Amino acid sequence: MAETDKEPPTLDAAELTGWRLPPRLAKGQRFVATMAAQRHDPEHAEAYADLLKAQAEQLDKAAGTAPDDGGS
Amino acid sequence: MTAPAEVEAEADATEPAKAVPRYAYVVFQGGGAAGVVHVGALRALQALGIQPLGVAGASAGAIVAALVAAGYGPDAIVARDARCDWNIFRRNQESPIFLLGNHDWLLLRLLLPLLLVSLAVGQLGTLALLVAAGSVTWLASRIIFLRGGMPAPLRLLVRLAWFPSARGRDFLEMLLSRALDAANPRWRTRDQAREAPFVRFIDLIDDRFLPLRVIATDIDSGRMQVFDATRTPFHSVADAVIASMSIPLVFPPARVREDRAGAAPGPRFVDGGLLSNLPVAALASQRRSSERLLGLRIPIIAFAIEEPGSHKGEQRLWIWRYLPRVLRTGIFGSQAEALALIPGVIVVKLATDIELTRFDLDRTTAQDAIADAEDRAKRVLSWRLVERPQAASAALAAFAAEVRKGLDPADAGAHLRASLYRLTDDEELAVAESWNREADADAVLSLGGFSPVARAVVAAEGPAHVVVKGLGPDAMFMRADEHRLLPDWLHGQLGFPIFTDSGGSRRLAGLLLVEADRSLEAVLGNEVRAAGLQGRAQGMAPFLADAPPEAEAKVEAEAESRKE
Repeated sequence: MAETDKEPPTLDAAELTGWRLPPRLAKGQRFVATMAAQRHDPEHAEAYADLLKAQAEQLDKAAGTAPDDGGS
Repeated sequence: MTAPAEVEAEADATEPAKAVPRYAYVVFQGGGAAGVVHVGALRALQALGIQPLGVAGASAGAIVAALVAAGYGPDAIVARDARCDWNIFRRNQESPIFLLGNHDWLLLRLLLPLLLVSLAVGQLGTLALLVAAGSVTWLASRIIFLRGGMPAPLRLLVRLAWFPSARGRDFLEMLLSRALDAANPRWRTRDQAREAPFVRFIDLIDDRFLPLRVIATDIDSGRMQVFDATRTPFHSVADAVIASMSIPLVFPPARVREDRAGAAPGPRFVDGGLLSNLPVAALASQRRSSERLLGLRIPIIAFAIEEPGSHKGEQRLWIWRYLPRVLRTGIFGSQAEALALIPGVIVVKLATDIELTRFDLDRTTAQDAIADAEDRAKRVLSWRLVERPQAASAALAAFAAEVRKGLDPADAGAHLRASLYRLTDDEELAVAESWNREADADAVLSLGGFSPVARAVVAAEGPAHVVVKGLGPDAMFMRADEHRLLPDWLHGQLGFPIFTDSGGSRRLAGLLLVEADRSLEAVLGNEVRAAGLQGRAQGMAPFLADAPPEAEAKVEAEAESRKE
């Protein structure tokens, strides 16, 4: 058993958690992570700058939407 | 603390029930093979509708956290039914023992008892037997399994580990990349400046996955390393998880690959559990920013692993009991200090008999342990997030209403806050529940410094039921510097001690504190009223428990039956 050329089974959706981050949190975290990527990888700083610009626009749009529900 | 922006409505005991918080940050403790009980914890979260916003773990907890972050649910890790491929290893035609190395595993299982016996007896003959048995077993295992590679005793000398970890790392990498492939086959190039050669922490930043934090111990500098998308965006997740579970001498010290041009080889890492096996602090700052962003209070749920029952010196400490206990203490015992410093942490203790190194766990044992863990987690989380807050809030509101009756008519519009504090092992009072001004409640009252009421309660001797504290620079128990620390709105406090009976002696267990923007001293002018209030406060003793009373009784009964 256990050699690398075997075909892995497909993922069954029922066995996944289906947990999704609230949109505002997901967008914010993506923005922060891209900033971190730019900091850690200065060679590709320009590419990440373009990504950050696009993500900042997304965040601006999200800021106008209703807050996430849930919580105590 | 600040004054409220608007007048609070008078709450009463029939306040509508609060919903279960949908969000939490979740931490999984390491514990080797015993980490399988976290599957039960995951089932409890799903059953109660609690959605993690981020996960963290060390050692075995890091494996669970990484799988959950990538979207694997509890039933993908261990199936509920009795099918052959009952766990995530078998579903992928693997087994933990094969990943470790069959022959090395067999050798360890055969040699360990002999080693313990030789240590206990201390005879040269036993040591000679150990060497002879080791040689024969190694030869036999090579013949049986027809596999080459370095024998485990030699690996221990050369690579500082009994087992290799490369196969486990490749298996985890396969599981993670398969989950990302299923979510988006183009994940390696999506929103990236370059193609990803392996799953990196930044690749898990997506609304379909959960942010992941993995703790490992940098053995070169002796410091804790947190791997996540902001500190280490291009580091391999699988490498970091393997580093986090690299128990010294069991697995080799591991380096974590970084996908970055010119990146120098990083330091070597070993088991994160060495420095932080229940890394709650790793999620504290993330929790704070999410609370601000979403405008919610978000608890950190920490799933801890412990042996059922406790050891209180009832057994003689033989070498075979002593060594595992030293190991367990090193792995599990270093968390209390950190947990006490972070408010809003719910620790769920999952008891299990499973040994740390029982990697050849059978299905029935695993599923029984998971079912027990699920039951325990459901009880504790339901109590802490739903039942206790609802019941305590209603009782505290009724208590505040009773206090209000004792006010002068001119003070009838006073703002009140009632809070229930529990005395911790560190002799501090930690808030258990509060009613009104909830966000402002002090998380911890220090008995030694600020908090004159708390000190007065402790200083009271005998049946001194009610402690009255007038506030002001000239007030008893309060120094001028302490007075400056009081919130602007606070002008009156009443403290009611809560005692428990233990072995015939009364012991302070907590404090019910009522605070107001008016003086409250008039409330206790009537002795009958004062005694009534103290009686009501004493009735809140059950709300100081971390688990519902019947759950605690069940755990104690099980521990007793095991001792017998």
